[in-house]
Amino acid sequence: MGNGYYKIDFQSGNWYIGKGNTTRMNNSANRLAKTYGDKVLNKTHFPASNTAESFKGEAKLMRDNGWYKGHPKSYNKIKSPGYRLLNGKGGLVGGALKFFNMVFPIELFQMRTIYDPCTGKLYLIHYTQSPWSA
Amino acid sequence: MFFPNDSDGNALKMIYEAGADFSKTYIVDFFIAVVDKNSGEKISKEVQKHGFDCALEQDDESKDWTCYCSKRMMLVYEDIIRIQELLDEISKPYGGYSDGWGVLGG
Repeated sequence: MGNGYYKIDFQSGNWYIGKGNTTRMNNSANRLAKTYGDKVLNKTHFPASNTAESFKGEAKLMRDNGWYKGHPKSYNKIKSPGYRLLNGKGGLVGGALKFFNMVFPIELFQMRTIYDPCTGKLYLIHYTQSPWSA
Repeated sequence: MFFPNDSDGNALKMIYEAGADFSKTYIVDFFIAVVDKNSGEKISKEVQKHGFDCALEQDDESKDWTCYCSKRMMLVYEDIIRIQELLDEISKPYGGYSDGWGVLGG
């Protein structure tokens, strides 16, 4: 899942580097400071490195939750473009998304937060009326 | 050294740039976010069968329960991905999910 990565620097000179969101970074910092009695000097979090990864994460979420087009409990009107990326049929090229021989500016894509009553989770969805939405 | 351009790859790259010796093994902590203590204990039992050291803890501030699964291993991207997928599979029936990993160094 594309949720970023982080680095925690400790007073002793030790560091802790990992993958995860900011909550995970904070939990790790608390845990290690307590375990080793080492003061946290600095915490830095880097969001998911690229849009393609975010799309992959979104597509995986939808796939894992049994999404399909027309699912009665789905608020997603179209399949995620990440499905194409997951299938290896597209990629991120110079700030644009490329699928087969077509290139789409990243601005075409919008982000929305969608609540899924099936899982009780909030999803950040990259949403577009794209050529494969028909 | 090549690292894929995703969160796992970038974290590994940062570890490499921090001076870690990739020819040696490190203890990698894999995190599983669990719903509560009860489900965490069940997940821990399952994960231990795969050779992980497990510790179930609740964060003092966030009150989140986490199953920390540690393993000494080489810092290999594909292995880290594979283990997260494995832990995800194991924890999913109990409402948990793989929620990242980390390495202590210095």
